[in-house]
Amino acid sequence: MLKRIKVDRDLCMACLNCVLACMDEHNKKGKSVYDLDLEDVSNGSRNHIELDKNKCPTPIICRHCEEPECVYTCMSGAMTKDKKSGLVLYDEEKCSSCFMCIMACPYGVLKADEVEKRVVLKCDMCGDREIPRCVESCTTGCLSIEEDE
Amino acid sequence: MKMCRSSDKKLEKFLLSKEVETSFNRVQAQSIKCGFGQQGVCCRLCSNGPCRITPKSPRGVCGATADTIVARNFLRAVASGAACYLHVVETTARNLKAVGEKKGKIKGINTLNELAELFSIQEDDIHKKAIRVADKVLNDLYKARHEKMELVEKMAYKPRYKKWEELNILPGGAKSEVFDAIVKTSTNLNSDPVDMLLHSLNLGICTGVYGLTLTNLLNDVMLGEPVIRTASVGFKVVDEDYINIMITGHQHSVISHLQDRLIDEDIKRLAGSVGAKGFKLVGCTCVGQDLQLRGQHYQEVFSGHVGNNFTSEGLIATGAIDYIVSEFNCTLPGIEPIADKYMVGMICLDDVAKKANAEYVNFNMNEEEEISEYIINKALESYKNRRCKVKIDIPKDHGHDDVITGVSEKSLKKFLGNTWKPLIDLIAEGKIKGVAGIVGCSNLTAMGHDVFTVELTKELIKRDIIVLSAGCSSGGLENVGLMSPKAASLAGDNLKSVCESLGIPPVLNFGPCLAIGRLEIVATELAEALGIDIPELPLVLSAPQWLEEQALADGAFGLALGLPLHLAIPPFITGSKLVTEVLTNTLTNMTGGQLILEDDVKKAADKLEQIVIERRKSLGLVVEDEGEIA
Amino acid sequence: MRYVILGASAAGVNCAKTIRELDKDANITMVSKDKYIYSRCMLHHIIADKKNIEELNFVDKRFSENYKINWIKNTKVERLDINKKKVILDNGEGLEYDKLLIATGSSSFMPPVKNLREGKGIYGLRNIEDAIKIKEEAKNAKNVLVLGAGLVGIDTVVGLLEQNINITLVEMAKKILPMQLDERASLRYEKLFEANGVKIKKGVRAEEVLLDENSRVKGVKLNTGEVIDCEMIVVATGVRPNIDFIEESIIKINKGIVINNRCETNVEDIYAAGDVCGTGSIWPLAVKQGIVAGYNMAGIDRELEDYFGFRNSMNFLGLQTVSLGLIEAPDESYNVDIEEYRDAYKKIIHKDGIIYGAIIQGDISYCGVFTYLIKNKVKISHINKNIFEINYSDFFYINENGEYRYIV
Repeated sequence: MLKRIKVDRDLCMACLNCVLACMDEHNKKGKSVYDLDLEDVSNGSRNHIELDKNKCPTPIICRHCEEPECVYTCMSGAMTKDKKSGLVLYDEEKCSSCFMCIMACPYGVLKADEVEKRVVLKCDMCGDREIPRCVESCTTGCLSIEEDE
Repeated sequence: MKMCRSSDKKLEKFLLSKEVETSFNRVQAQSIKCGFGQQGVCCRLCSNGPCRITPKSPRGVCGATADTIVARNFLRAVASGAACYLHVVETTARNLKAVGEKKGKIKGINTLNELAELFSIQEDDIHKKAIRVADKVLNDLYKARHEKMELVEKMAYKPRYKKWEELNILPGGAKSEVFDAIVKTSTNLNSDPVDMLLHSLNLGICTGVYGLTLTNLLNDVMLGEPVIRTASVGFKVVDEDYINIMITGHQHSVISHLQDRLIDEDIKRLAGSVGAKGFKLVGCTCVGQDLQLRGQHYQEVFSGHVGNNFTSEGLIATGAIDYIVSEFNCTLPGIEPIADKYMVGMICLDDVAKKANAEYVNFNMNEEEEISEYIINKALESYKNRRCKVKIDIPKDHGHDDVITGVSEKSLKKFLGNTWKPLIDLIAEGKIKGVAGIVGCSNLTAMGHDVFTVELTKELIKRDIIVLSAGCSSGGLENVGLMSPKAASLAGDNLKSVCESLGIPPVLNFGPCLAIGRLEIVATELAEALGIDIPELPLVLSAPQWLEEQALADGAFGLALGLPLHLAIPPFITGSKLVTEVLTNTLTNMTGGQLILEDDVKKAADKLEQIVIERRKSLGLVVEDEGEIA
Repeated sequence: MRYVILGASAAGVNCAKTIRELDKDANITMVSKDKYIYSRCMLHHIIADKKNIEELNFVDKRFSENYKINWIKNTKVERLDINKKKVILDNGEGLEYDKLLIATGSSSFMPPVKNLREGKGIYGLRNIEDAIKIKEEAKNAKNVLVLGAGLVGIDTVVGLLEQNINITLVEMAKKILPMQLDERASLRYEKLFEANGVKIKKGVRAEEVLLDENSRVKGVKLNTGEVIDCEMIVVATGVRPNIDFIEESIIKINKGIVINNRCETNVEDIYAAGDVCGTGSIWPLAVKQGIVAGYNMAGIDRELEDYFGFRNSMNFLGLQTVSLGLIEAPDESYNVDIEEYRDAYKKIIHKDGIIYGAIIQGDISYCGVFTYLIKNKVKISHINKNIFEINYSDFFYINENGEYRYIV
């Protein structure tokens, strides 16, 4: 059973709350918005918003694909598909920073961390959190969580 | 409907029983906040924006840094807040002048004389004196920015005045200062965060000296001085046998004619003609708190204070309110649909608070008789029309009958024997460890409605720190019983014995937010009595549940006075390291003031207590073993 | 069903995994000359002494137990007995199979340079043993020459930079990484390597390896006549498939074993995947071929959809580059757009609304979209925006199961 973040693009208003929420949740200094240093480039978001040709904002959020190109292309074993949870997991200790996954993700979800360029910024569905922080922070209903059988 | 918590459990229960949507419900739907807004790094000053600071975009299109954006937003907010209070003092001064001109009632002759003396006005005729006092205030407000206001020096404590002069933050004409703060913070103008923060302090002085202190005193002249007494509070004060007019706002003098007229015999008879016992003003928001403060003079017309800003929606939902008169904030837009549902007519007497579904009548002292007649007739009509159609449900078990009110800088001193010495002695002996002003608004976000305020207050009195409250915070505190003498049992042993021997509660009720100015007079007079400057006093401020821009302007005054000021929710500044650093740290070396941001009740109490203890140490006062009280 | 898989790298391992997931009762045997499962693309980390063999493992430590695979390691295949459907191992043992996968990979190719195959101190970089030897040898040597400046050669240089040794890189083409980069992108790496002390000789060939009396390497003579002293050579001039156990008359071979889109060879029940197919395979293709072979071996029809081998990412000395498809426009009918900012250099080659190639250097964030567009020849002419700003939102579509899909 896979939890997947549902995206209703028409509802996205590019508020970047999901981006901030992601940075909040993965901030080593603490999880409150007031712990977040918005000028600190070392804390990157694992999701992002892109604008299409009509300037329509679109959240780009890891899908934890059934057939994940990032996993197929990973030569270090850092990127794996967990059969049980259905999640595509990333082990930054194992990663050899070859960035083949960045090249492979067809949806342009992945990038390297901004400062060290050592690890890949990859959605972990907020670990044990029941509802990912980005979904919780979405004000418009654009992001929601649904369980896939 | 989902609902936020309140420290007032009976209010919570009442709201749950009603099928009306209130702020308590909406705060749930609004619980997801914009992080950029919270951190103050969203700029909407031009069409290249809105710009937001992120690690990927550390500057706005124009090049503004997080520091500039935050400082601009902050100064704009303080300017708006200052403008609100300056509007209030302007109205009050104009009303006083009109009272003088029409030779109306002067109820606070002592205060008038004191002000005249302070302002060096020699005049025997009290009405002319009132005009001249009012003019002094108005003249200052209307000065250009390059002309310094005259009354600041007369009103302020000398060491403070010198400090402000040193920092070059003495204000020119208050309205002009607001005006240029708006100019400064517009597109591609000032980018210097420090300059903008200094301007905020300048506006704090305008707010404190004029908007707060002088408004109180001018109102005391027109409406009477506060007298300490026992009063009832909460929903229980509402009596359905009367035609009930709920008042919202901050400008007490606007209803001065109405409140007297309502108890005239002919009006009572009029009420009797439709089956009511008479008219009552039901207190809500700060103007209700103001009426309560001066309640000694209005015992017949004033039914009592029901609660603070976020109680107003619930109050209408009792069905017992027949008419609403508003003249300023906090008149929530949320009362509109509830007023419609309960068929309550609304009138607004100042267009700054014009509500979408309210009738608007511009208040003018020269037409006050006609306006009062109009309101009375409207209220009467509303009563006739609605009473047969709506169900009345007043939670009579809500509130207290033993709340000590009417505390002011004067009444408190009088209570102590016309000297501050007893209080100073209690502090010196350590019976009272220190003084905390828990002030400002009520919000629903710092743990819930009044939750932080109440918890912090309990935490402080437990540590023998006496609490003085003004603003919606006091509305919350009195409704949970903390302003009743019996609350002494919640205080630490030392404070408890002081309260019990004096028959006072550990939390003193100064009334509306305007009365923050009164607290600051108390601080000034205590400092004066001790021959020290304000930042040396074992006195701290907290506006734990600050709500609005006005609170930020109040806060700026507190910081200019050199007081430590705690807030549970940061005032949208944390996105700038510089602004945060200046306000929370550097400022101690400038005015002596300091912003303390802490969203944990215990930790906030620890920090405030620590400051009190340090101040006691530097004054050479007894300091008990730290950490003894937990 | 008895499955035998020859090889324990990307293709073999993924094939075994796939079969196990599809068939709980399958009897799977994996044969490899390797003693470990490890990523060959990471061998330079061994040379650099930054990782050990366990850390090169790209599967779970308990892989063979978890997937119930009978793994015969450290064993080579002697020959195939196709008629008896039997694999003969070098220890004389025979293994019968119902389905066989050949995923034996490839070996370093030693070009015909005088003394290159004879001298001592000459290594390829293909196996863990090579990497360990190079690391150990480098400790005793002062000068090393790396022959070939393709990805393997550069990887070797990166690994050797961690050792205290003089490095000379010799490349026949006029630029380093000639298959992946254009001149401009290549030059940036060249400067970075030179700044780190690497001597680079471009546009030259090694003509002869100079040996001492013990047949040890002492230098390399180039076609220019220049002699470069070195005590060690790493040869990185390409690979050849490991097919010495196969009779070419039976299994069809071209550059490697020939397979169809189901990864079948011309012989029934024999499949092949990965480098042994000799099609310049890259890791993700080897993985996918292994998976497709696994499906078909287990009786579930599946076809290979990805043949796009001309893609690579590289991350050398802190500079990242992704190379996709064409690196130069073949003729003037192609448009070449270039974008540069700060550290970034991006080039896109397109024609008639289809992108044929891209080099993305310095800032490779989110660039996988271009991989997809090039691989699938997606029409982009209707997207009225700066080509470098095209991103997935321009093709956005959400499947019912919540996955993204391209709408073109």
